[in-house]
Amino acid sequence: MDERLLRILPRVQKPARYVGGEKRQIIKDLSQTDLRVALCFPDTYEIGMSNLGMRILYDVANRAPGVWCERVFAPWGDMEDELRAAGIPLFALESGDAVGEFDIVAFSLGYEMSYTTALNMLDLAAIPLRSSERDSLTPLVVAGGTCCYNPEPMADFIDLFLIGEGEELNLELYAALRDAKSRGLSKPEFLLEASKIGGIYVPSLYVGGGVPDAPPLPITKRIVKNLDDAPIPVDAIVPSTEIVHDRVSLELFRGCIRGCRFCQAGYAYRPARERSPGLLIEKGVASLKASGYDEATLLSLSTSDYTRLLDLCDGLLEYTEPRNISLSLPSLRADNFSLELMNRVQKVRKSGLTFAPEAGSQRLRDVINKNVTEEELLNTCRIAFAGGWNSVKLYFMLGLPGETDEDVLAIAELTNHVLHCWREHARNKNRGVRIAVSTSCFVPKPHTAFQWEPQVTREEYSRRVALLRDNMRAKNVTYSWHDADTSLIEAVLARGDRKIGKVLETVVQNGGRLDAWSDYFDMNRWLAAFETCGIDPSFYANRARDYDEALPWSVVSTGVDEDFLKRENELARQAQTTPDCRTRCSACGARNLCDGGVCGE
Amino acid sequence: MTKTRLRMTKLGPAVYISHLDLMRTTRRAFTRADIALRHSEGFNPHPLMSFALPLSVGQESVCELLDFEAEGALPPDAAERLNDALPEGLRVLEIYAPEAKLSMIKYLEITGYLFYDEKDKKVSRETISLFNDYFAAEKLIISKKTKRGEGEIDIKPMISSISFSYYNSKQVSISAIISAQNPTLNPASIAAALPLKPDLAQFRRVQIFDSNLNVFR
Ligand code: SF4
Repeated sequence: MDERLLRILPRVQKPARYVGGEKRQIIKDLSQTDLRVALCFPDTYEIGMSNLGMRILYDVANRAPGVWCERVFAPWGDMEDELRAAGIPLFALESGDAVGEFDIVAFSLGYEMSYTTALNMLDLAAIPLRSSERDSLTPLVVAGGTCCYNPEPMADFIDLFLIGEGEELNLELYAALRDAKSRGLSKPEFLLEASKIGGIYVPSLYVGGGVPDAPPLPITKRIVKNLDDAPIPVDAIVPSTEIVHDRVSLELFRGCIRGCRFCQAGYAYRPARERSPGLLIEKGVASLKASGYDEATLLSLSTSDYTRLLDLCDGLLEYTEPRNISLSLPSLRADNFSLELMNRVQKVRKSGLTFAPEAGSQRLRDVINKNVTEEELLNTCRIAFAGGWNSVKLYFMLGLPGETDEDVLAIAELTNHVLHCWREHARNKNRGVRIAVSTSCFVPKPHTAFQWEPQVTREEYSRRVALLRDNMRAKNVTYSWHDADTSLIEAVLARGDRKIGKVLETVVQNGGRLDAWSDYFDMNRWLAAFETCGIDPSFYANRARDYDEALPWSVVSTGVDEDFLKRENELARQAQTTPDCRTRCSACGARNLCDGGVCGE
Repeated sequence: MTKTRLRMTKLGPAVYISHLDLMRTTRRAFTRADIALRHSEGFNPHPLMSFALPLSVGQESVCELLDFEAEGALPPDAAERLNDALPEGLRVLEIYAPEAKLSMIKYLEITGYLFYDEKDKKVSRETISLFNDYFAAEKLIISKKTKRGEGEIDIKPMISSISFSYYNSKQVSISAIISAQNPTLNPASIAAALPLKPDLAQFRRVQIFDSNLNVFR
């Protein structure tokens, strides 16, 4: 280890996250390696190592002969300051080599607020931020992840975007770059070639008049057609220091059949594709054995919609129960079936039920197509309270399209009904009940039915928060709300165009980093940057768009037709619901991506 | 099943694993090695294993002792299996039946290096005699932060023997036998007590003794 690091590490918080050496990190022989990939997660080790996508892509890349893929995370502020003071560039955990020496620097962009962290990481790696300032073929700076469904805000910095699922696409990129290196291609030559690979978007090909041979837009996302063919990383790294999700995560399916109109993941990951329970049980047990974890969790957008959930749980419980391994089922719907299942799975802990009705009134739930009724919710609560549960968390959004004060107050009413339900049905009232209500400010996202809708202003959000707070005075009920500042920035970045790049750059130049953390987020720094760049944030966040406006993110396609999103938006205006994919196909367009999954059922 | 003891190293990147994380990491290694640990009785059962003498983050050791109780007979290749399962820097050196309780530990032998980087702090042979003389004094009062604020303690009685030697112009090597528990002396306090403070002090536990300075087993 670098002697300078030896001096630094004792001075920083949690040094274990900067040294690697965990069980099953991949070390390769450099003489057998012809392509080095730095897989960069623009957040801390604890967050990044918890990310299933990182585990999958690390595993996939390192299985490829000749490719050595290493991990890079954002240092916490204390470490960053030490690195900068000592002049040590950002390095990868496995080899300790500087990120600038790698062939591919690949960012996983899953959250808009991590953009500045990604740019700051480039700066820490002494790599020029702008793609146009990097002349040589390598390091090639690429990005993938959900945020890339609107690539424009980061388009000035990223050489190419990987749109959609990375299992196959990443390998095609690696092969293409290896080939380009051996043929001595220049960066522009390579980028043009790479753009021919389906799912790769090269933003520099479309500036000015554009490059004549550039593939036509939009670039359609890539998906894994049969999820049973997608590798499950059983032999994943086991961190030696505690991370956020310190457990085995089993991905049940991708996509979602529901079609909630605000949910970007719900549209962007279409169509819903399941893994078979037998495979999940086998891989789940193998992962538990290989990791030594004492907890496994089922991962998906909506666990209850997995068609063979009972079989799966039974199969897993057979292994976990005798070994004191806990199994958790997040994202359950508020129905009786779910509760039965939770009772079955969580025999001991009966602490927390979590529901996300998202809106307080049935009318508004119909607007957003969140198909859960108050009756279902209360019914579930009734059984839960009678069964000894005594704490409920309820998540809502404020500022949904068409929300009235009545809808806001309906949140308080619904909460009261839950409280009332506890009074009537609690098994043991002496233990009390805790109802935690939390609201966030709705952020309209690209490729959703609400992509044209304005976000409410910060002032309006605060007014609605105050209205709700004044009407939620019951003891046992705690109300907390997300701050509106972050939501405004998120809204600007989510639907930003290429001009937003300058804002991001300015924020980073002025010290912005780790903006996803309230410890570091500084609203004034953002507002100052908007001003410097002559950008009005409300133009991006609070403005309603016409259907015929050219949207910046229309350069990529999720496979879901814009016409379908318009139809959904119109139905929302009339508070009309759309059935889920399994009840009836609404011909969203995603079927053209693959015949498997829910569309073929 | 009776108690078993193992001795392991904590070196390389593993020195940055905190005590709590070391427990977690080792527990998972037992699972991966397919060695079931006995659990405590009661409402919230936890595996029966405990490390002697928590080691500060950043310090090395070749003598971390872990007492544990396995479910059933311990497989003969337990050490190998654990070594396959443990991360870099953690290595089981031996597994044996304990001869004394962990509470009978009294002394620790440590070695280490004191690093001096800045020009004005260049190490010479005189520095070494200065250090050796300094530690020959009757008392060695250092200030120590406690929960109740700043306090002063005499660390001299906690040092059984100590010697410094010249390594090079930037490094002093140190070797000492210090009190391991009741009271505990953190080697970092020795570095802090020096008249010429190092930029970096690295210590390694090399041996554990009982009160008669016999190797503790
Ligand atoms: S094509 Fe039909 S079934 Fe397939 S995702 Fe779209 S709406 Fe659902």
